[in-house]
Amino acid sequence: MTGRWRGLVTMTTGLALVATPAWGAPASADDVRGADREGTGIEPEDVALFAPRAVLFLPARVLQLLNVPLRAGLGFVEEHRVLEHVEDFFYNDARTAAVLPSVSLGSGFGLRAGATAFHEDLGGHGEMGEVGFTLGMAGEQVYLLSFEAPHLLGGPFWVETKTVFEVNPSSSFFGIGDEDPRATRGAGLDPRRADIEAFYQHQRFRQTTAAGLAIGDPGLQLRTGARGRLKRHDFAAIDDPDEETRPLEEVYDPAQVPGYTFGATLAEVEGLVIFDTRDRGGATRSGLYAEAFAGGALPFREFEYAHFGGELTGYLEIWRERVLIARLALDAVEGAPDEIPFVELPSLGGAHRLRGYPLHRYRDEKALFGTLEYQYPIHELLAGSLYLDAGEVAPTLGDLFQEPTVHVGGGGGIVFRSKKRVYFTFDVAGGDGVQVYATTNPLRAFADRDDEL
Amino acid sequence: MRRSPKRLCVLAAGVATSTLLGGCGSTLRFRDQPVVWKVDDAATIPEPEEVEYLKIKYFGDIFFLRRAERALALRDREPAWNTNALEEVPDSSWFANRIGLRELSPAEVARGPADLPPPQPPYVVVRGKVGGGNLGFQVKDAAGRTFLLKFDRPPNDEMQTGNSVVGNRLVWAFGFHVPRDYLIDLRREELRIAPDATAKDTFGEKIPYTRAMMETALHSGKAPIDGVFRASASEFLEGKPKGGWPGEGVRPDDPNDVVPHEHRRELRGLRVLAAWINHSDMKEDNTLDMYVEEGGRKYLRHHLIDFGEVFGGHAAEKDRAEDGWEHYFDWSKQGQATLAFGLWKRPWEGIEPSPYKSIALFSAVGFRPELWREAYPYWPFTEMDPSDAFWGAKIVMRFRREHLEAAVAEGRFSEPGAAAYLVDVLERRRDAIGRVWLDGLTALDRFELAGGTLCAIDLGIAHGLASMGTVERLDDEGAVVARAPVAKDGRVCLPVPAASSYSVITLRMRRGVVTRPPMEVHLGGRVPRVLGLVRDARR
Repeated sequence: MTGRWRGLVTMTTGLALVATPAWGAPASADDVRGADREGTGIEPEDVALFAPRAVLFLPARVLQLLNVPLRAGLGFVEEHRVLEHVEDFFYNDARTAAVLPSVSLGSGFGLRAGATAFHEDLGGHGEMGEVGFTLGMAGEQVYLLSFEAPHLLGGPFWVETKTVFEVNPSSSFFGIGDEDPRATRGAGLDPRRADIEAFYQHQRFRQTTAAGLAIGDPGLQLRTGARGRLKRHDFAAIDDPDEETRPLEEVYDPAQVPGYTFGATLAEVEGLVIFDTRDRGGATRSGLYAEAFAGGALPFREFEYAHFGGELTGYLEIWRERVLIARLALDAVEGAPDEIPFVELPSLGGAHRLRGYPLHRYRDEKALFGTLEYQYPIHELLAGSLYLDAGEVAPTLGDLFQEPTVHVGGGGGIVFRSKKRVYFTFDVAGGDGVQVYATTNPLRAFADRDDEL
Repeated sequence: MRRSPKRLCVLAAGVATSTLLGGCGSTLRFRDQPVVWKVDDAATIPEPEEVEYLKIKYFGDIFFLRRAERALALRDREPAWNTNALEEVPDSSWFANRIGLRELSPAEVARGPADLPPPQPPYVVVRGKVGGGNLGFQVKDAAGRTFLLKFDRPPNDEMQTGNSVVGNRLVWAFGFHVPRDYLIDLRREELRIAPDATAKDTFGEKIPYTRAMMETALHSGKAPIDGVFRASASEFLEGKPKGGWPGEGVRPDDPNDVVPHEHRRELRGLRVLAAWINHSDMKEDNTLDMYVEEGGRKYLRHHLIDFGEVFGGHAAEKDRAEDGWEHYFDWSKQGQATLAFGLWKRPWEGIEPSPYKSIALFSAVGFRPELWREAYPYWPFTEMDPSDAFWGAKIVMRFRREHLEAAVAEGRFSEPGAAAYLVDVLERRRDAIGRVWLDGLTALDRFELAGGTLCAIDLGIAHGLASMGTVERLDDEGAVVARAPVAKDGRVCLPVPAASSYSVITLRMRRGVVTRPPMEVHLGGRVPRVLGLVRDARR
């Protein structure tokens, strides 16, 4: 408790400094205090803490041991400017373009690896071009080529184009609709009369191009435009099925699953309008986000349908960044049931639509869903969230409101965000079991719709 | 050094191992010797290596690695190691008693360490500035002295340049070794770039310093008025820089450094000063050891540097409303916030920034010194005990309004009302500190023993923190054996038993129905006098 003091002591009387002959003599802390200690020197807290310290002795030493390489690693990284060298290796000098490798671990999919090359200022006005791919150990593949210009050449026009080829070796199918009673076992079932989870392989090519006009600035912005999509879906039985992953063909009658047997080629066009008054893109406190679109698949081979929908999300700051968020969204297709590929049916489940349920847990021609979410601040880069999601699917708009079967999920999460943007959210939700999601923004119903196979 | 209540000792010992340990506790017995007012820790040492500040490693330690280790160590609360018999800090290579022990005039506070004239043009830029949040460069002035020039950050014109100087003066007056900091006006035509001037690139490699770099720095801050730029100029300290001192332990290459830094009272008590001026940016990078030669001896002198982010500076630079209230990663506060689901109104929420850009978020509203937290955990601060806090508060309370006005005037804040606001806030925060950390203990000081009477000054009343008080003398069992009211001027005298030899007087302050923790006054000596104090007799 008292260390030896090899320094030297000068003593004074009162406040006047007077050098003393003490120079040269080693002194202890008690010499500086001018006091001696009487007693054992063992304090009550030493006694009280003796047992806990004994218990923690080994874990403390193990932790110290483990920290040695961590500390050395941090020191090495900084001393040798490893991060700067890595950034310099992957990025251009202006730090506007890079070739970046990516590695991720997805539950059920194992390890995924890929690379992306992008330039985020191609024309000097934030135009971003990207090309990339991702390959997964389970056989999934994604190849991407895209270009986005939020203000083309600095003007009011925006343009987006994206070409994607994807292979998902194991997509889930839970039947179509949401009617009782439901079969729990069987084979060759009508997908509208059963909701057994089955799996299929999905291969998709998609080319999307959109353009329009953006008026206003963040805080009050109107975006209008048109979007066209060209898609090709192909389906096949999964490899290596087992008791847990039964192939779609084994459970359902593929002929009653529109588009499954021969795939589907689609050409869609739609108009869209977005009205955004959110005060901030990241830690949003107030404002509205409204999006609406309408269009459909052009008559092309056997598929033809209309597609429309929209969402309205409102943010209300209750008190100092405690924000209440309410969202209502509708996604609908209209057409003859056998002229709408099953993968184009609006669906519920997943991080963006009905948390607490697996992706595409329910699908039908109409999907109505809503969210009530409360976000509260934890740290400048962190917020907590509590939410309740609810939604239903039905073949018609009328059916949504007559004898509705509403599915409810709820949970909480952590939002990693700055004031400008949401980096990602981590959600744990209960509904159909417990689901865990990591996504960029669960409150955008249609943001990732195109990417969700 | 500690005198423990018998019951606590018995209880604790009885829990498990008292029979093995054979009792516990220790008491101090002061020697009949003069009070130590200077520790000579300036013996010649071999020149130490310069310690490089590694930010990622440092933050990794304070927020995660070392933090976890300290949690598992179940550290006990140790009194500071380097106090004298009066619980004061002797002068050393770390600290020099200034306003704490003698009267400083406002002019002395305003001048602070700046005992030489300010830098004189023309200036030759010799190096770029490395690290830190605001831009600048190193110059040599006409006299060949070297300075680091720094500029403000928009939109807070005059903030960091003004804070640098005001903070420098207050920290110096408190007693720490600091550089000579000045606030200067300069014109572009007074600047010239040396042919061999260098900067460092992203990888730490030297590159030529260019005019473009200088222009970027010049225009990073407040726009020039009539061609005049405003900058803070911090003179390079004498000696050779050897890096910052660690917040814990000692420098292994400095044989004079024998008190673990977390047990140095001046570093623990620095928390009081830091809370007062909101020096939340306290970290190793803002300390600097210099290898100096003085009187034929070569040793390390320890300095605090860079006060641009005191007051509202750090909050503004990092855009943190919680600055001064929570560590950047605050496991306890932010953990509580997570579990409270937003229902907990955190103490800093609702505190509005000042109307002055140069001050921003620095306020006395809601200020509770005991809740103040630095942005980056600093181990000496976590070790501060009530006696350390008392020591710091005692010094802070000696700054009078005229001292504050003199120091703040050095910041030349041009917004009407800004300087007065800053002085007001400092005064109110000072008094809050006094109420919590000074009057939180038995605030008796300046003891005198004459005949059978022990007299002292009640600092609570002397500083206007309290209007009345009664001093109680306790016996060994804690029973009151004598009482004396404190006079309006703070003086109080108590009869004490005629001490034929060594005696310990236990005193306690009572303010109305509330009593303060007892303190001990040790009497003795060939000529009976006060030999020493134990400020907090609970420990």
